[in-house]
Amino acid sequence: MADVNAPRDLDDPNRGDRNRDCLRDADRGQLLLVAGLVMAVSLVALVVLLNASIYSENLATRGVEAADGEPLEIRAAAVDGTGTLIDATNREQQEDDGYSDAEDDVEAGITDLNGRLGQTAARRGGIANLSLTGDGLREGRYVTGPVDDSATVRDAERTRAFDLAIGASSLPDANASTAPADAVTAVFNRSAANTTHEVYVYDPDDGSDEAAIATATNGTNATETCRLDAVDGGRLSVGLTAGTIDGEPCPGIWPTELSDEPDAYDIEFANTDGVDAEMTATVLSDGSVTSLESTPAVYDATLRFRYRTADVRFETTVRVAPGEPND
Amino acid sequence: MRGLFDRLGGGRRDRGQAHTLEAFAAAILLVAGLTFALQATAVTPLSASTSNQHIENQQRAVAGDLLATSADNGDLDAALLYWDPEVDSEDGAFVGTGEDGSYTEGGPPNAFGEALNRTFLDRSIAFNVEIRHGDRNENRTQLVDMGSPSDNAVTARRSVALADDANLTAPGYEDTTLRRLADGTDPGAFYVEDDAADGDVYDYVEVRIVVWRM
Repeated sequence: MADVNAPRDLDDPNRGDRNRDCLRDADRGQLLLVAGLVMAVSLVALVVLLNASIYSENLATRGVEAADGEPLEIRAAAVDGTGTLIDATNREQQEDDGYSDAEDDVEAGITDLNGRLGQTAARRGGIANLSLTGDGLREGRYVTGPVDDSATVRDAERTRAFDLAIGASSLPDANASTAPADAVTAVFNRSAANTTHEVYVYDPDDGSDEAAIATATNGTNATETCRLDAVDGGRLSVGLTAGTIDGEPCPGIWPTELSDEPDAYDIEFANTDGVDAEMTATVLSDGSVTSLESTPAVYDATLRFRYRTADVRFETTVRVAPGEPND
Repeated sequence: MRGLFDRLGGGRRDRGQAHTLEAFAAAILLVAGLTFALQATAVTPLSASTSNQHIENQQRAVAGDLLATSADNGDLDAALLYWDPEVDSEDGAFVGTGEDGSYTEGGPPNAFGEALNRTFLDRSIAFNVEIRHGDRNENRTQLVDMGSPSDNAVTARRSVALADDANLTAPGYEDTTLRRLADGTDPGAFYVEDDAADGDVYDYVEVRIVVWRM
C-alpha cells in the first residue's frame, strides 16, 4: 500500500513537536484502511441481509396462497361426495321404493358427509359445514333398460348422465346420408318449438372404422361428428350428455338448444329393432316413461357450503347434478 | 478531524479510536465471513431459495390439477379399484405389485399411473401416492412408494367417494363389487374396510400425492 505518511525531518530542532504531528498523520493511513474495510464488509452484509429478507418475504406470503386452495379442495370433496351419493342411491332404488326412500338416504348421507368434512377441516384448524338449502333435493326419475322403438321418456325438463350402450356387432351399417333411415337414433322432440334433434349411431358402411356418430336437426342434413376405429370389449358406450364415445371425447353430441329450452322435451328412439342397446339416464320429468324401467330418484341437490379458518372465510351455494351437460 | 484529535489530546491517544474501529471491523468481518460461507455452499435444486419456492408452488399446483382431472374423467376411481382381492392369501393387493404391496418404479399400470408418469417421472420428479381411509381417515394404504420424500416435498390431496356398487377394475374381477366383497359374497378382501357410511357410499377416501425432485 502507498505510504501516506508525511516525510520526517529528523534534523529539525523542533522535531519533538513535529514528531507528534507526524504520528497523528501516520494514524490516518490506518483509519483509511479500516474505514475502507468497514464499508466493504457492510456492503457484503447488506447484500446477504437483502437476500434473506426477500426469501423470508417469499415464505411469509406463500402461506396465504396455499390457504386459498383449501376451501376449494374441501368444496370439491363435498360436490364429488354428494354426486356419488346421489347416483349410488338412485341405482339402489327398487321398483316399489318411493321417492321418500331415496330422499331419506341422500339426506342421511349428506349429514354423514358433513361430519367427515368437518373432521377434515378441523385437522387444518378450520370449520366446514355442508347443508341442504331450501331448494334441497329435486325429484326426478332414474331410467334404465333395453331400448326399442317404443321406448320413450315424456316431458323431460333436464337430463343428466344419459348413456347408451350398444353391442358393436349389432350396430347397423350406414353413412351420414342414410343414417336417418338406418342408424340407431335417439330423438329429442321439442314439441313446443316444433323441432326435433337426432343423434345417430352406426357402423360406417365404407368399412374404414367400427363406429360413428352423426347429429341432425329435424331429421335432415345429418353431419358426422366423430368416428371410432375399434370398440373395446364389443360394447360401444355413447355418453350423450357427457359427449363421449367409448370413453373418448366427442364434443357436440348433445343438442345445446335443449339446455336453453324452457319447455320440456320427449326422448324417443328409432331403428333399434334387432339392435342390442341399453340406456341409463336420470331425468327431471313428471311425464310417463314407457318400455323402460323407471324408479323415483333424486335429480339434483342444492347445497350450502361454508368453510372458515382464521385467515379465510368461504361461503357458496352449489347445485350438484353429476353428468349434466354444461350450458 | 484534526480539530477533534486536538481536543481529545492528539498524538498516540488517537489510536484508541482506530483500535475500536478495527475491533468492530474484525467482528463484522468474522460474522459476515461465517454468514457468507454458510450461504455460499453448493447451490443444488434442493437449496432453500426463492426459485426453489417457485418450484414447490408449481409442483403443488401440478399435482393438485392432476388429481382434479383424473377424478373428473374417472381415472382416479378406476386406479383405486385396480385391486386383485384374492392374491396374497386372500388379503388382496394392487394388481402386479407382488410382495411390495405398492408400485415402486412409477405409477400403476392404468390411465392414472400413465398420467403420473407423464407428468412427474419423465421430468425426474419422484412421487408417493397414499390412500387414507377409515372412519377418520386414520388408515393408510400406499399405492405408489418411491422412497422417503425430501424436505422440499409438497403434498396435494383429493377426496374420492367409493360407491357400494362400484366394480373393481382388476382384470377378471370386473363383476366384483365392494359390497359383495365386504359381505363375503365374493371371495377375497378390499383394502378399504366398510365403515358403514350413511347412504349407499362405501367410504370416502383421501388420495395424497407427495412430490419431490430427485
